Amino acid sequence: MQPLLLRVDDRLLHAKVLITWAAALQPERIVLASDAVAHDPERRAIYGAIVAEEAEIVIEDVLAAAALLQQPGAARSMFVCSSPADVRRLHHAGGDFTRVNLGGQHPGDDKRPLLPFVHLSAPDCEDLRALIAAGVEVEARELPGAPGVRVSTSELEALWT
Amino acid sequence: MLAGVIVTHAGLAAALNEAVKRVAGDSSMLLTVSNDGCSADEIRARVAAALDGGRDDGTIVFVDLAGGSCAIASLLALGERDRVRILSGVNLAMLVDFALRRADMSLDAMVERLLQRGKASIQELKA
Repeated sequence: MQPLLLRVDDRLLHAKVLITWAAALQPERIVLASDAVAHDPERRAIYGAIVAEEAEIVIEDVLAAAALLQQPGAARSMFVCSSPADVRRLHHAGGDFTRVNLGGQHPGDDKRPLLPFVHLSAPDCEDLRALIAAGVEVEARELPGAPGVRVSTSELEALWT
Repeated sequence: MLAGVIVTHAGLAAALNEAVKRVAGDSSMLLTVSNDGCSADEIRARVAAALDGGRDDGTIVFVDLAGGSCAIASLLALGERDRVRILSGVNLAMLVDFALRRADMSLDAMVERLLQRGKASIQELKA
């Protein structure tokens, strides 16, 4: 089921997600889909203590989040992953979605800029190309009021050839 | 003596630091960290580096939004460190008070005072 938003953001839960996107979409739940957080007691406790104004925060690993994506409640939820790899895993695990929001992907030694707020590694591009090939629309949009940019396979191939 | 670190979005920390300097005369006890252009790990590393310069008496980390990347990175940066406290909703009243009184207050007493001062500074000045 397509959620209100499935966002790739390497900061996971933060102000743009919890305040700005949540204000625009008014989700009942915000699902943080991350093995690294779900399986680390310290990180899980820190993220679990976050209070969103109107939404319940749910922390799951990627497999459990894929199961949540198959439930009716997904349509009223926002999902956040840290990387294109985790979104691809969500899709492989049966997560039923057709649109992905590419949000904050910050610079790194192994990354190149696609847009000012989207920096991608070669594996990131490969994961996104695989999602597009599977029929998923990838749109880069940092904030709900900003214009969205449809990301194409050719752009991803040009970034890392 | 207590140390302070301001961790915020964009250039807010640096601007607050400059404002403290104008009002209190000295802001050199306040280190600043911005999350600009940083991944979550990079913000955490910046905060950890600032905390490494902390004082034995204690350090107070001032962050802007309770659920923001700065707050989360600060919580993650604490690790095994003790004598570090984190306050959200930083404002100028809190920071000026901290700058003027940090020499003669314990960490616990300062945290209690700053929570009160910060909240008390938010008022409706004209209905």
